[in-house]
Amino acid sequence: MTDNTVAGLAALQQRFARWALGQTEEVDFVGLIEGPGLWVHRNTVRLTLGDALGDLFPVTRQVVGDDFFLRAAKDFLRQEPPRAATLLHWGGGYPAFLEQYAPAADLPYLPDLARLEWRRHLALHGPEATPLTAADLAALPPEQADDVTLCLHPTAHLLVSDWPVLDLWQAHQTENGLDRLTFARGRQEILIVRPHAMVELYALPAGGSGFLAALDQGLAAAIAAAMVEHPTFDAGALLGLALSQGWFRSPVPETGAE
Amino acid sequence: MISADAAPGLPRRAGIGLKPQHYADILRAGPQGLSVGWFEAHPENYMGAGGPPHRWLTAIREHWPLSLHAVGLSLGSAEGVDPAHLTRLKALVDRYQPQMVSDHLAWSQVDGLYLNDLLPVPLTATARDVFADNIDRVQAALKRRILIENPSVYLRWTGAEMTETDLLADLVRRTGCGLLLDVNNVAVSCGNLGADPVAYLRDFPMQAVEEIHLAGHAVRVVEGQMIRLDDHGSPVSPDVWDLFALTLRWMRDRGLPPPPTLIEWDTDVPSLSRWQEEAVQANHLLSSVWQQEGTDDR
Repeated sequence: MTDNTVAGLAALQQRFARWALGQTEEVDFVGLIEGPGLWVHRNTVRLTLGDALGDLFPVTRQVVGDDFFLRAAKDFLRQEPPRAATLLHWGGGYPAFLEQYAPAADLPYLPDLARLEWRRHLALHGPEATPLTAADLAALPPEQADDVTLCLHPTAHLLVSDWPVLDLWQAHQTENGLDRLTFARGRQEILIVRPHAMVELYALPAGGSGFLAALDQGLAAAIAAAMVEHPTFDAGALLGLALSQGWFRSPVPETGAE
Repeated sequence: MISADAAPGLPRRAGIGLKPQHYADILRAGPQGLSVGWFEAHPENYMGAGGPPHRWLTAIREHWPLSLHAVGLSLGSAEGVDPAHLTRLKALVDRYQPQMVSDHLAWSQVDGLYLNDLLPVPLTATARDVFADNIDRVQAALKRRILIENPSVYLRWTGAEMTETDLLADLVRRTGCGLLLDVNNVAVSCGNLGADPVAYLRDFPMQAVEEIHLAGHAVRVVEGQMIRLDDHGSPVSPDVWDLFALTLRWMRDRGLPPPPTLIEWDTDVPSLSRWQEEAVQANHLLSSVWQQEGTDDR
């Protein structure tokens, strides 16, 4: 009965994979000696991947609790199994999954909390680049300084949420942090960036995310973008902070480049 | 005996796995302060563009030999090795110049899905040919030999046309690869399949063994059956130490040199100093067996 061709082996592996991921409940393996071993593999696949997802979204996991998290992880795994043999690239679809996930409907801030954690993960493993400093800018000849394009550091990610998810995340980093948490603050604009070894998180002033996102179109365009909705936005203050904290990448001048 | 490789291999003593919680302790202790001759890391954990994992590994690689022990090549995949994954592995091999590269006699990827588990392959000529083609492809891409590890097995497919040890011997002949003998996996697999671990070791192609793995495993009851789980979550068990000592005596008696030996620990990871105690015990066996040349009876 066993198909001993390469195509037969491929078909067996496909069936096994769908069963192990929980995409089918049908144990249909011609040529298999059944035994607890089969279930060991299914458990290993689901538990190790559930744990891996928990490592990526530790605060989300704390908020919903282990049981809820692992149940949701199984559902996510069925829909979006890993596609590459490194788990560093898996989980980006989890925040969007939570948005559609009915059991999490009464936690409307959960998808954005997960987005914050995913972007933290991306920043942690993102490319290295030397941050731009105020001294680098000052060293430029004046004719170049006018044409400088400020580029966000390659590990930089912006997040705008209707919920104070950075406050929520930070409250989970200390023992009694939740006691002081309030949702009254509402909307939060957040920058996630890793200029050096550590990922840094910043709550931006209103308009800050639009400003930073538009900087690659030039300073004037960025200021305009921020002031449309936030007329009191202070670009100078934010630029000073950005340069002192390494939010931009060096080298500076890309003048003349198309 | 001198290794056939131009590049010097791993030290012929005990190494341990590299874990993030130990990075700082390792660098603080330095090569003189540790009884660990080398480290083994899973390349899949270092496949991001940058960040702390690379910063630490770079610093540690400056002082210690390194083995990259892959879990994701899926050498038993009928559809072949994922070229994107091979490219990522090659980049790491080029960057860190490890003394050893290895993966398993298993599959983990099919149809664009990755299962994060080392799954068994039927012991057939077809599966052997699939492995051989995949190993050839990896060795050609990396421009170096790799080692293949005997897996921990929980089930057998019917229709076996050969034993696992014969399949491994065939792969050595056909691809020129070496073998990584995981003695704990021998205990786990033979325990789960009702086989004799000593007989398995007697059939193992020892001449091709270039590295040994030791680890702890758990014993659980699943669906009424006792099962050995390869969880790497405890000290090396006494029966595995005995099988290790037996393996070393057989290697010595065949004129082989002491093999680089890794202590693995992946769950409930202990302190660096506790882990080192296992390495010290392995080092003790590695040196004492070769000092007692020919004095043991078999």
